[in-house]
Amino acid sequence: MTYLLQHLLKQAARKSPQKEVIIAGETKLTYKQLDKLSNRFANLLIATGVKKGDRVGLYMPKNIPAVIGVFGILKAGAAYVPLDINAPSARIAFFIQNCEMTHLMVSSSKKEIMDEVFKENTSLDTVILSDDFTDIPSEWPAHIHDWNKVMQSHDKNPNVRNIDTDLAYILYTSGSTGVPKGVMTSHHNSLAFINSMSELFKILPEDKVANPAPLKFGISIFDIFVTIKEGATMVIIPDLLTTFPCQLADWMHENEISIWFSVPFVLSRLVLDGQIDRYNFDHLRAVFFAGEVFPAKYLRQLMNLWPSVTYFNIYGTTETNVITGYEVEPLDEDHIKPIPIGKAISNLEAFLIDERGNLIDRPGESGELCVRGAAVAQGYWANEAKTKENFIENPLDPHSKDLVYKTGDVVVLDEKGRFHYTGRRDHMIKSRGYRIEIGEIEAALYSHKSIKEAAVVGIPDELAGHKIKAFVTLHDKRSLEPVELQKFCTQQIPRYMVPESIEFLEALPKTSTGKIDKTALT
Amino acid sequence: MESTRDKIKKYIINKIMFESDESLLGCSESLLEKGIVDSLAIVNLVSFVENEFDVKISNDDITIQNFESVEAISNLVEKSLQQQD
Repeated sequence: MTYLLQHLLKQAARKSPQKEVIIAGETKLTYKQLDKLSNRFANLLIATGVKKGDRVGLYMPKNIPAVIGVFGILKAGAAYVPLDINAPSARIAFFIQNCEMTHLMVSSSKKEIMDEVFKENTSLDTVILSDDFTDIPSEWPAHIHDWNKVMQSHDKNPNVRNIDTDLAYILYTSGSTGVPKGVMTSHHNSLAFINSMSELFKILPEDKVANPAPLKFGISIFDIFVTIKEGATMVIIPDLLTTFPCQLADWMHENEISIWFSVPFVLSRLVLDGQIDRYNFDHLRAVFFAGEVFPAKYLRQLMNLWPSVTYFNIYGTTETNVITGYEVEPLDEDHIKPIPIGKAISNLEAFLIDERGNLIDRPGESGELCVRGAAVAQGYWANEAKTKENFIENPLDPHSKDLVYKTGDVVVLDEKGRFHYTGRRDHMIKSRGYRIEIGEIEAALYSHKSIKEAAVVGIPDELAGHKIKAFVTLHDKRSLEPVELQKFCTQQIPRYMVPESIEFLEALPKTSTGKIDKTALT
Repeated sequence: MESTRDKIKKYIINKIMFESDESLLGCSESLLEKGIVDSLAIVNLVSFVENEFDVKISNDDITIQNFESVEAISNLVEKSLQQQD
């Protein structure tokens, strides 16, 4: 019976042990090897104190040790918690404290930030090094194990007895009050999503799947678990390659990628700067994109360059994973409107409600998109208030016991029953697929002692989705350089959230009720 | 007069690293390994270089090797300027 995520690996390893499961440059791992290595990892965790239900962190890029870590953690009965590789040390320390993490795997590239994290009180007891550190950081106040220790551990499956309502992972997202929220997903929630995706996309064992999303993004669940469920191969994209479109195109061609999944930003850059007409990309058969709206003009260019590929617009949130999908139909030359986000995937119900909680089912009217189904997450870790706010009782059926997740997205239904995304109810924006709460940036600015008022707005940008701009007023007449304030922000929030430009004003415009009038600022 | 290298360095320190201390970045230091230049920064960096030095950087020159360090970017600008003449 398949009721835990690690069962997917067990079954695939039994069916095709010698098949390649991951390729990363010259290194290849078979299903059998991944199964055995993750057993070793699990046994090391258990031997060093991890118990069923614990949270174990992964602070590293998506690579072979990370995937071994994911399965090792699950097999040890724990939930994995990927930490944002772009976050400053204070935020990393927050994640660790917030979910009372005792074990963490770290890559050498994060050594300096971890030095800072350890200066604060942390709950960490054990650190596993994922690769070669020039020096073992013996000054860290924790038990340190290098990769040899993983290799020396037993390779038998520890067979920890979990059930499917146990947590599988916690993914942190931006929080509007300045505190990130940890979305708790159980094995049951995740498998519901994986089964629907597998039905929709029909990944084949011969497929090579590439997805640059770091582990902290919900869409990374797709390339790890759907790929493994189908016995296909995931190919790890080398670091930095998504920054250099021409080299990314070379890489996709050389690695014979057949399924590509990324934010539209990466694809737009491939169209603009990747010179993708140099290759035929004969193996490529499907492109999935998610995370933000794909500008129609770049999507059309992409579809013209790769005419035989199937394109899917995928829409979802961390709290539910994928909600809807739309197989893109050919776009006319004059098509400028955003394409639909489509219909709910199987085993998930999506509907619109108005502000009073009434159903909206007439085409053309907009409402907030709500979701119910097995894939809906358990709520936010140690955050009852936010959980109650967003995971609500079913407004359409008082007798129903399952919770409904309110996405905060304003959506319109069309005549064909497809949903169209139109915007947010609140102050969240998307930039290059990153989900960013404006309130969290404002909270960072307000924590600077000179700031009297701060208002942050997302300026729509064709390529990036949004660019972030801040307007501030100061308490004193002291002059403050924008760069000083930006630097201050980088100590609290990841760089992708730091305002690109900051304007100093004498006063911020106000509405008649005395609130900051953001519409006057854009 | 500020050299090409100094201008590029200053831009990266101020606009990408959000710092003001110029000693924080060496000209041969790796911009990529340290995560200083990422996928959004590169777009802004290329347009800065193109406007500042009035040069067109061709797509196949936007590579890991050419953006590895301040030194490498500066060499790329010089090379592109020569090709334009």
